[in-house]
Amino acid sequence: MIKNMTVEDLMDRVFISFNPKTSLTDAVSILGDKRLFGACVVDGEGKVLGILSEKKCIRLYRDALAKNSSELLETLTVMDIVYTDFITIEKTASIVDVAQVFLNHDFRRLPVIESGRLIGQITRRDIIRAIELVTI
Amino acid sequence: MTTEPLVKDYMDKKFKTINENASINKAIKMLMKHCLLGLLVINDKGDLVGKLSEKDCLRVFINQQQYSRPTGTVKEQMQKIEKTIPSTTTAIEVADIFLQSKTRRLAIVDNGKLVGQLTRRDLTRGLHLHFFPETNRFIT
Repeated sequence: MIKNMTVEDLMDRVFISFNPKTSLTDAVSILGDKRLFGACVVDGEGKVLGILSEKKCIRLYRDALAKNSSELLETLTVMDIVYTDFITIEKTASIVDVAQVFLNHDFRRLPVIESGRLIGQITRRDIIRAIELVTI
Repeated sequence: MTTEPLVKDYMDKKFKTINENASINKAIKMLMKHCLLGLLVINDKGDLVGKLSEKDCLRVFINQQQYSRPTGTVKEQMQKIEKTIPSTTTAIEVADIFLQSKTRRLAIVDNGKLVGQLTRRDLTRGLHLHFFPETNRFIT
């Protein structure tokens, strides 16, 4: 039953993350291919430095369009579009509690942290997929 | 540099919709099957009447507190459409709309007819390809 599930039961263990030196344009290309946004930026020790913000990305591209120049975009890294006020979760958290977090915020994904290191991520989609499986 | 792009250059014309009387269960299955984050909602006449997101589906799950099969219809959970835009809106104008609101999905309406949908994702991909068309081999 979903009520008894924890983050560990649903989280993604294979996911895209970027090191902080990744160029903005490379990241957007890769994410576009995967049809997703909101990946984590992680340092060499697995610590989450930030999560990519689609809104910040749109702002930069919008300004580039207004100036009719991509020059600035080509100098930026993923660190220029991260937000740092994110919430993390532990693998032992209940799915019901995580669903409530998603309801109370606009986040679509939460990093799962253990001993200060990123070990997975859980998205709103993961929870909805679990709901769908319950109804089969 | 080319002329400024318009919404019609980036919008999704083959978007999925769901009827307002459909069950939330059906909505969830559609979101999963088509890898969608949300849907525009129409009535029996094909008029745009709302939008439904993953968050709306989660709300049903939490509020019902049964933690099993959600019940109810799309109409009961959908959000109202605050704004529609014509396909001739410029990319800068639509970027400003997304930046000034929390909305992630816009319905594109020309002469009273729903002709497309534009998400923040569509815009991001479109703007990226505008400047870096050589990366099109990565973006599908």
